[in-house]
Amino acid sequence: MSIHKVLTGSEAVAYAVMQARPRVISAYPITPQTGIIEKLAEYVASGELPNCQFIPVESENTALSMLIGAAQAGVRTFTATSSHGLLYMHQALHWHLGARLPVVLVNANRAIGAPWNIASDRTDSLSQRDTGWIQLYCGSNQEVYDSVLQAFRIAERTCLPVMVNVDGFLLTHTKQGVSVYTNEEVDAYIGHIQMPHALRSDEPRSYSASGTSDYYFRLKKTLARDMRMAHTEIAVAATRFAKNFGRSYTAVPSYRMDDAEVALLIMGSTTCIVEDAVDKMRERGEKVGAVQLRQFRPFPAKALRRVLSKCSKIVVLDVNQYGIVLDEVRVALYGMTTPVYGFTVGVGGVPMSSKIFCDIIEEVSSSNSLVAGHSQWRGVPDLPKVAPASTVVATKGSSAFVNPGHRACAGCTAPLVMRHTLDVVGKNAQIALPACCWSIIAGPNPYTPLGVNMVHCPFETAAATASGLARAAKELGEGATAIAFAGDGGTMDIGLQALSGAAERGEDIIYICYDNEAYMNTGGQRSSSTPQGAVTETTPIQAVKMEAKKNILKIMTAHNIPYAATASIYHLEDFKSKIAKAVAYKGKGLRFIHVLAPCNPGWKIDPALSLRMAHLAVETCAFPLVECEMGKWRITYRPEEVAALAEYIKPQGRFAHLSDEDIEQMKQKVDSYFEELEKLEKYF
Amino acid sequence: MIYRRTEEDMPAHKDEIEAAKKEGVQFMFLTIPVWSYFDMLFRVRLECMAVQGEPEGGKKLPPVRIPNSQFGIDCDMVLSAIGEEVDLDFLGSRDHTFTSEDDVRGGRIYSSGDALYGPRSVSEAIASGKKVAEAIIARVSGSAKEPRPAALGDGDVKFYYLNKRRKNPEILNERSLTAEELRSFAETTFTITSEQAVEEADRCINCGSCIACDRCLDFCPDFSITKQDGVYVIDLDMCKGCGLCAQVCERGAIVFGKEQGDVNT
Repeated sequence: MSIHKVLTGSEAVAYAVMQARPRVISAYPITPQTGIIEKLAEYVASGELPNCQFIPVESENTALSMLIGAAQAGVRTFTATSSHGLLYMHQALHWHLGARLPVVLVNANRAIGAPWNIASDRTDSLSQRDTGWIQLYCGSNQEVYDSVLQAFRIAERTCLPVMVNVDGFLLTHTKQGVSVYTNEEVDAYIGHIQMPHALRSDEPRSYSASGTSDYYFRLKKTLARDMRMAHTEIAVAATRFAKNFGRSYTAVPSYRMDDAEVALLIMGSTTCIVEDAVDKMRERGEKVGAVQLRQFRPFPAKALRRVLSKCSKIVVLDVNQYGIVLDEVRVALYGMTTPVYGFTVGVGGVPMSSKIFCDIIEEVSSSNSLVAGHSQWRGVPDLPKVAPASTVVATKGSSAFVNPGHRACAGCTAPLVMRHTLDVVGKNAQIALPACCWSIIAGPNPYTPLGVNMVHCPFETAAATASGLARAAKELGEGATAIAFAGDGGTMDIGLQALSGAAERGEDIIYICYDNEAYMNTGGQRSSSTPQGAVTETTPIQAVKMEAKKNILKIMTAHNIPYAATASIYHLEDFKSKIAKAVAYKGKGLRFIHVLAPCNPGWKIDPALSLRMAHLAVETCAFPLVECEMGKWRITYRPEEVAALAEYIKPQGRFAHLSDEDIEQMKQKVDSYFEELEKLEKYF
Repeated sequence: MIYRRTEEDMPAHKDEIEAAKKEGVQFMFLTIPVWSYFDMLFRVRLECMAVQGEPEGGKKLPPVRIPNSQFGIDCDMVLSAIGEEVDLDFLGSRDHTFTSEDDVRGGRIYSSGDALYGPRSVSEAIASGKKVAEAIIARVSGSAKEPRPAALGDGDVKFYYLNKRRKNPEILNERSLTAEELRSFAETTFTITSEQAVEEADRCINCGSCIACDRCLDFCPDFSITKQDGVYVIDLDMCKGCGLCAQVCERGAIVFGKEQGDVNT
């Protein structure tokens, strides 16, 4: 029995996953995948998805690697990611294949950097073609729902991991009608997970251990065979699906291909635009058809040759920057004389219209050339001359190094952290900026609100990139001061490894962590810096964050760095004097400053209250201002009268559910940490 | 000193009460004078009664005399301190017909402070005096009075941000008295130095007035406030309307509200 719903692609994924009843879900937020994991967090918290561990982890590397353990134990597992997240999973992607773990991963297709781009193209997943994962691409939200259900069945029957690809925003954030089925029907379709190589307590083994080269060779040969044979299981899954639910799927669904002379090959949500172009060209009498490449790995070469056997010209449309599909198709059609033309469209989210495809069809139809070269880029006119990326100076405001007109939310304190840091460090500052709110605040090229150089870098690399800047500066002798400027997620979660490494090596950098206590850039998901008791998008009200905020200061002081301190954006004098100290320790090693920078949308407070919250955090001792200078601890600011903790907690929507007793318990923790700091100050 | 309520109820400043005690003044609380007369020896005799003055629901009720509690005190002199009254005899009539600082009688007489409102504080008298001054300026210059800024509301002055600067204990305008001084009629309270006066005045919050502290400059996250020739200018094209500047303005000198008129011009 089907139920009709109107769902976004993300909701369709989450609904299908909820019905598949996985036992372990790991999740790390990245735009545009967040809708999936937020919904799943809600399903688990509300009990709609019972008996499931939902783990908001600290990086994509962990998200997928955690499933190495979980899947090996024999339970059904799921994770979702996008773009750089998928790239950061690269090692684990290979590992899952080799270990034959039937994981299902949904990837929200998004362009990859540099430069940053959150819009949709398929470079991320297509570039993972040689990791051996089965890859499906969805044309609509109905296909999304259906493909996720099929993916669990395929994965568990082939013991191969499956990646379901969903176009970011175009599907993940777009509502469409979706028919869903009852939980019982879904159960009957997917079946129970049965992994012959799951852990068994009665038969202990050493999994994925090294062996002889012969052993390895044989294993990989079997794997290669099974990957080829996966075609069969994918087809069976489709047949069974058609039987149970009435919708049939093939690896390469075709559209008006019966008498087509020109065939367009396309993937994902672009299919419907191409089909529209086909209709328009048919009206003009052109014999055109479209083929959707729904399955990319294993590559459906045979099916493709069959469906393309009668046409005289083939156009491969690549929505990725490397012309990957063109290469694949040419290899698959090797030996056929039909010319294959390649066109690259929609890279980085450039809008695609039927007009673009009609023009391409006309271009190809009138072309007599049988020699088809590299993929031709269409959709954006070239500029007459390449314009240099220039700084456009905005209205001069009150800050020497940050201009007005940046893209922070109203009432955001992050621009203030940057401004006052730069006011102290001066024009020689060089900023390494990982993914964080400032990636957005900095605005789009060619604009920059900053009067100093800023190098954007991947999420986990702030300390590494800044180290590189510092080392080069040393060689160049220009006296630049490298600053890593990262959020709490980029510091305490995904960036911790690079930070720890840089601290231990004594890299000559200043590391500023502006802490808004969650992944605010992606909409407010839990980080390890989120305080206990807070509601976030991945710790909903039924399951608020129970774990304490990570004490990054103590982690950093354990590295014996010359200077580590906490600061508050409200207590400017204290903050700026700490930056000045960090500057003064130039050449002595990594200097670390952890600045509390409240976020009004994330904390659910009035925009005008963000500084008041920074003020109260300190005045209530919830966020004490301390420093550890060459091993010597000091409380740098003592509230004259400690304000009641409730004053800080109660105005914040994320704490709205807390009772007076809860706040009293928090107060005890606040007091005991302050006592501990007093002792550190006294004895160290 | 005979007072009909308790020590806690006394409207006098605490330090004044302490000073009086030091000088040897004896206090009789919950006592009310009933009448006074000269006795046979022409001494003043004050007849008093004990009263009950339990406050009810936080409200001070008139004290209730306790029956048969009458007693007498022999005195040299009795001073009655039973309130303040303004002597308006010079007006030729004791009728008080002034209703505001703008009222003028006989073309040249204004009323302000206690004369207008009855007994109130010094700061209120200063404010009232300023209003009269404005009325006089407007009348003499013939121009309309400048509109006064709206009165500050609750929370406009952010006491929680302000440095809790307390009175310098060295400026306490009294000193311990020696036994001789106690008995003499010498000055016990001295004028403070001009430096101390400046220090004292510096504790004033300047409610509602900009003191050029630059906090709005430091805290505007959009850097849209600039200082031009000593005047703060808000670039409304760059302002996102978060209201932080008004929120961090300790003195409530920044008003945050909707932009007036056509914002596109």
